[in-house]
This record gives sequence, structure tokens and C-alpha cells, in this order.
Amino acid sequence: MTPSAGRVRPLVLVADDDEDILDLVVFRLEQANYDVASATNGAEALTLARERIPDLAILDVMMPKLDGYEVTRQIRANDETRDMPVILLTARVQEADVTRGFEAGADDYIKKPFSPQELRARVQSILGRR
Amino acid sequence: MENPARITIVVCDDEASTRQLACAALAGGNYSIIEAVDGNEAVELARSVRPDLMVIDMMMPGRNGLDVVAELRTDPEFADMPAILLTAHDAISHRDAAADAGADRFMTKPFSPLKLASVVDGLIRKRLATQNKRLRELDRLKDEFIALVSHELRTPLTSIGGYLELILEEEVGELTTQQRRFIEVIERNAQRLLRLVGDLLLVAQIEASGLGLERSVVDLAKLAAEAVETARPRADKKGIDLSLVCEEEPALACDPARLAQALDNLISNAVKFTPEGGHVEVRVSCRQGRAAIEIEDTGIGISPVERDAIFAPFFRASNAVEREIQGTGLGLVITKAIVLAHRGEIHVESEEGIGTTVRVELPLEHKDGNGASPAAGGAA
Repeated sequence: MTPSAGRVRPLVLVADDDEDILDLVVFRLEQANYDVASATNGAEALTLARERIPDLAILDVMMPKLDGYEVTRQIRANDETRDMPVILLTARVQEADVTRGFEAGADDYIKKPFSPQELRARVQSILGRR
Repeated sequence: MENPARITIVVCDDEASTRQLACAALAGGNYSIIEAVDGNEAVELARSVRPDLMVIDMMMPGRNGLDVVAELRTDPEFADMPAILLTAHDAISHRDAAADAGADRFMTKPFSPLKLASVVDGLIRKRLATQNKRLRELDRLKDEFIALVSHELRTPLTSIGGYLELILEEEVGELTTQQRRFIEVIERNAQRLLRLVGDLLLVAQIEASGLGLERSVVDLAKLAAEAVETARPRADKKGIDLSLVCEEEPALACDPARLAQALDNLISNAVKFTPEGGHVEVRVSCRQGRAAIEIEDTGIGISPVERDAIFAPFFRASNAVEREIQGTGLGLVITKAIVLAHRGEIHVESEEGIGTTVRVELPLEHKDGNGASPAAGGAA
């Protein structure tokens, strides 16, 4: 994996309004040797995405202010963040939600509940292929 | 094909000639019309057939039309049912009394059949439009409810499972044997809750929009072997001899995760309902373009009267309840939906006290172009 812009380790942005899950994902990613930036709502996530240009964004779908779909759309609409890979985190598993995620421009999605192995594998497969 | 329920109208008059006239007037409307000869019969009929509209004579011996309407209006079930009162006297006092009792229209006898038909048609149209709107609203509420429950129940379970896993991996300190044992109990129950939530949501989804499949080609024998191994620990614990016989290894275009879920359900049922020391045999075979999986057990069986009910949501067999065998009555609903979504069939043969054989047949070829594609649908 190649972290961008002089980083030693890839930077992953994680956003979830449930702080317990946010902490868990952050813990697992740090354990897997990533740098992590975290946000508890969509607006904060978008600001961090624009300011820090992370190597990957993991966004919960259901968040106050801006939901994960909208944050993804805005990441795609901005020249500087357009190519940032996005994984959506979703507790809903209906097909329509998955389709909506891909339509918004997400690269992958992880269903809640997820195993740490699954999280790591998805992150690695996206960061590894860059 | 089932006929959609017909619109039912009750016509009540003590005079046969008026009833006949009203029935004739409404004959063109494809309504199902039921006649009542007095007020008591009208109320009884209303309660049993729940009509969509009533035409009632105001002046009848005993319980008159006003009493009938006023009585029915006290029941919320009839609050919105249109009622037309007929009377020979076009007096203001009669109109007022009809309105007070809760009638929607007031018509004087002799009435014009065309006028009656047009009033009835209008009221029925309005009623159907209201009902339609209410159904759409209920449908929307149900979808919102499913989405909400899906999110609100899964999110805390994600936290519970995730942190338990961290503790069990000893990422945050070593566990004593007893601590590990207790936390494993919590984890097992969290998993159980998660499965239950998943099953409930799946049933709701199946009822709402059917089951979507993500197909890929898999070896059915391998899928069956995995399902057997999943059930192995519970079989061992009960001293049940669980075996797998694969005559062939059919390659099947299917949704592997869903089909595995169906097999898990069937095999775990067989183990669950088989007493200690019994046998469960899983057989995979192929015949005439169809793959078959049979799960045969020496369990408690299902009585013939309950045989057809086992695929209904939340149904629990009486002998299972008697023996306090736990379950939600959702597993077979889901299993059948999965089999049907694969255009397969499921059959159950059972004898109480002897055992049960469940046979699932799945077509090997898909001619609709929907199957056999090597890539799973988008998301995988």
C-alpha cells in the first residue's frame, strides 16, 4: 500500500454517529497500523475529507446532518477528493440501500455487524490496489 | 388465481318489493348483495360479513333503520362504512334524524333505481380511494418501521459483538478461565439475538418485496458439507449420529449465502428435534436436471394436522412446545422462501415419533438468463 503525500502510514477517515462503534473501528484500524481521523457526523467527515485528503474514507450511512450517501456524493463532486475510495458502513442490508450507495459513488460497503477480519480485508483490498 | 374480494352491500327493508328494486338497481355494479328483512338481521349480517355499504329502510317494525345505523356507528369497525337510509316521508325531521344517526345519504321512496345506483357507486368509489390511501400509508409506515428496526437493533449489537470480540482476543488483558466462559455466554447470546433480528427482518423483507438473490456457481455437495459441519457440535453434544452422503457433486447457480442459510436451518432443525442418540442423515443427489438434498432424522416428527402449518410465520408445532424446544417459528418460513426464490420445491414427510424427511429440489439450469452468471450481483 502507498500512503499519499509523504505519509508513513495510510490515513483512514472514519465517520459514525455511534461513538461506541466509531471507537471500535478506530481501535481496529490503529491495531492494523493505519493512521485514523474520526468524525461523529457527516459534516465533520466532509470537512476532514477536504482538509486532510485521507487515503480512504469509511462512512456510516445513517448520520445526522449529512448522511453517508450525501458525503460520498460531495466527496465525488470535489476535484481534490474525487478519487478518494469510499466504503459505506450500513446496518441496513436491503438491496435498494446497496444500490443507492453505489449510485452515490461508493467503492464498497460493509454490513453491520462486521468482523474485524472483514473490516481489515476490505480496507486492505482497497488500499492495496491503489 | 384468487379473485380479489368483491364489494359487499347489505340491503335491509321489511318490504320484499323494495329489496328487489334496490337489488335490481345495483345489479350492474358487480357487487355482492345480501338482503336482510329487519333491523336485527341487518346488524347481525353487518357484524359477520363486514359490508362495504348498507342501504337500510328507516321505518321498520322493531329495530328501525336509525337504530341500526346508530348502533353500528358505535363500533369503530363501522365508523367509515357508508350508510344510505330510505324513507317514505321526505320530512325535514326525518333527514335530521338520519344525519344524527350517522347516515351518509337520505333517499325518499319511491326512489329512482338509477339515482340509487349512482349514489352507491359514488360512495363506494370514495370508500375505495380512502382505503387505498390508508393502505399506501400503512405500507410506507411498514417500510419505515423495518428500516428503523434494522438500524436501531443492529447498531447496538454491532457494538456488543465488536467489544466482546476484543476482550476474547485478549487485546486488552488476559482473561481467567471463568471470565472467558462467562463472556462466551454473553457472546453466544448476542449472536442469537443478532440471528433473531436478522430472521425477523428477512421475513419482513420477504413479505414486502420478495427475496433478492446474489447468484454464483457453487458445488452443492460442498455447501451441504459446510452446513453439516456447522451443525456437528450440537449433534455431538446430543450424541446424534450426523452423516453426509453425496452421490454426486452438482454445480449449482445459486445464492450461496442464502442456500447455506436454508441448509443450516433444515439441518439444525433435524438435530434440534431428534432426541439423544438418534440419527440425522443428509443426502445430496441429482436426477433429471434437478439437484436434491434430503435431510432425514429420527426425531419427534410432525403430526399430520400440523404438517401444512409448519411453513407459516411464527408457527410452532405442539410437540415442540410441549418439550420446551426453543424456536421462533421463522426458520422454515425463510427456508421455504429461499427455496422458492431458487425456483425449487420443498417437501416434508413425517411420522410422529418416528422421524421427518425434508426434501429440497433445485433446478440445475436457469433458462431465464438470470442465473449461472459467474459474477455475483454487484456487491460482492
